[in-house]
Amino acid sequence: MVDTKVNLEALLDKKDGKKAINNLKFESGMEVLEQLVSKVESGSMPLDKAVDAYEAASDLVKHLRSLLGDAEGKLKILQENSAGNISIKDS
Amino acid sequence: MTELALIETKYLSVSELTNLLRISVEAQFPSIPFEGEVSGLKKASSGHIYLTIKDQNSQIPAVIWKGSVKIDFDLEDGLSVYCYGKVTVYPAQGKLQVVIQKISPAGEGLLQKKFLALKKKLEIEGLFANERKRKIPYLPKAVGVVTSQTGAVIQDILVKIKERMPTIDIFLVPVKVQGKGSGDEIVEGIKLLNRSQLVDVIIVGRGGGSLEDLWAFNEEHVVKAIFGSTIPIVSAVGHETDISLSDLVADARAPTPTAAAELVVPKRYEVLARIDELFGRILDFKRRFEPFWQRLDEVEMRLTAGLKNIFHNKELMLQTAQAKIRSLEPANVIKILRGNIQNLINKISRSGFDRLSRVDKKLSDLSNRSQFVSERSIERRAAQLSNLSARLEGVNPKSVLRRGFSIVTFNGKVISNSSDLKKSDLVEMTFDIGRAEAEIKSLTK
Repeated sequence: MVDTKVNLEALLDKKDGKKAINNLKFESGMEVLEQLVSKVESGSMPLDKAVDAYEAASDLVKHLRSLLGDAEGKLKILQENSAGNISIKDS
Repeated sequence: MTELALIETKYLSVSELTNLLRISVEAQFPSIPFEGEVSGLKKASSGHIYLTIKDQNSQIPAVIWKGSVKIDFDLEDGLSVYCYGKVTVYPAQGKLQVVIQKISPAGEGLLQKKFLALKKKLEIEGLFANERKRKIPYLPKAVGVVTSQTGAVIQDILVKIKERMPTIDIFLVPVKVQGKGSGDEIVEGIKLLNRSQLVDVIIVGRGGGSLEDLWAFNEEHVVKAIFGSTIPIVSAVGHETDISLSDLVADARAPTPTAAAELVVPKRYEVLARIDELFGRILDFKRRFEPFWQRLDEVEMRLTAGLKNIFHNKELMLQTAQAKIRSLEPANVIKILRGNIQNLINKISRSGFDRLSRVDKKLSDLSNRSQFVSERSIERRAAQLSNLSARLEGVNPKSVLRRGFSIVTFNGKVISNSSDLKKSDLVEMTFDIGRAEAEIKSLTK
């Protein structure tokens, strides 16, 4: 469904991991977080990897919270006129 | 006829006649399908509906008893209908009438046929296949809605989304959802949202109605627009019992607009709680290892310190060796020797000079001291001298003479005892001023 298998390694990367995390969509992010947590908990991770996993998880939590946002959502009217111009108006 | 006249004639009452007719007609036509056009529609206050079904040449009265038939369309004069009915006789007027058991708009039948045919075609084309359905995102950044701006649908969706995830923006493309041109508008709405890239899930829908009302959602171009959308689409068309082709092609079908809203956004607080829970778990894990970190840090620090010491020692050794090597260079040796010699010279000259200056100093010290000492003794002596001279003055015989005393000498010897003299001795007397010679006349002891 989501290619988290490939992502996981990339996310633990010290250099580019953070960027990869911030590019995650919410659902993928949630899945990755679940995977990270269960992987870390399973004890199958070498310690250094687990440390990286913890760092990545912290970043990921921040990212996910920011995706949830805290601004009030609005209803907007999307229309296109005959000239093909798209207009967005508040309802 | 003649026979009837011969025997005793039994006359039926009208009631009996109409009743006989009723029984025989009802037996013959217990439930007969027929079609026609509605006219003379009358809805009685009792709730029963009286109407006439007609075609170009004939008509027949009909009745719909209150509550006996489900009517989910606008029954009105001029409407072509399909009916099932029991033919009976209305005794009061002795007229035939149909008690309607089932009625539906005639168009529906055609639409139904069209619906089934199109459904079959699109099914074969693979539009309804489950494998091609896109996943509805768990948390969209914004939700697109294609429906009427004035209907209850958008309101229901708004309320539910606000309740679950109040931070979500909703982009509504207002469209006609029934009647001529509605299909085109729905298609354009879906395409517009796809072009705009503003949303990552779309709800397409309208409220309940007849098959005819919902028809736009069964039009092929609408179904194909939903199929062709790159953004996942949730359909919410009509009531739960109404199935449209849009429902079949959509990536998810919601029985109501509210259910559609529930499908596209999760409950915010649940999501937050889940994130917190997961983070809490990984935090626990981290805490479990904290003592190890500490030990690791400790070891690391010790290691660093150890390495530092080793390096430091080696560096010192290196520096010493380098210095040694440098010192053995001939130029340096000469320089050092020269330095030593110079030192010696300096030492020697400095020590000679020092000694001289030390002697000199001693001498000057001594002279200072002697001067000091002699000055003091002279003073003392002077004082002594004046004292002595004062005392001497006291014992000076001359000063006694000045007070009137005289000195008597005999043969140059000062006489202080008369026994040293005899009568007629010539003694010399010395006064303060002048002398005299005297002869002793008598002596007393």
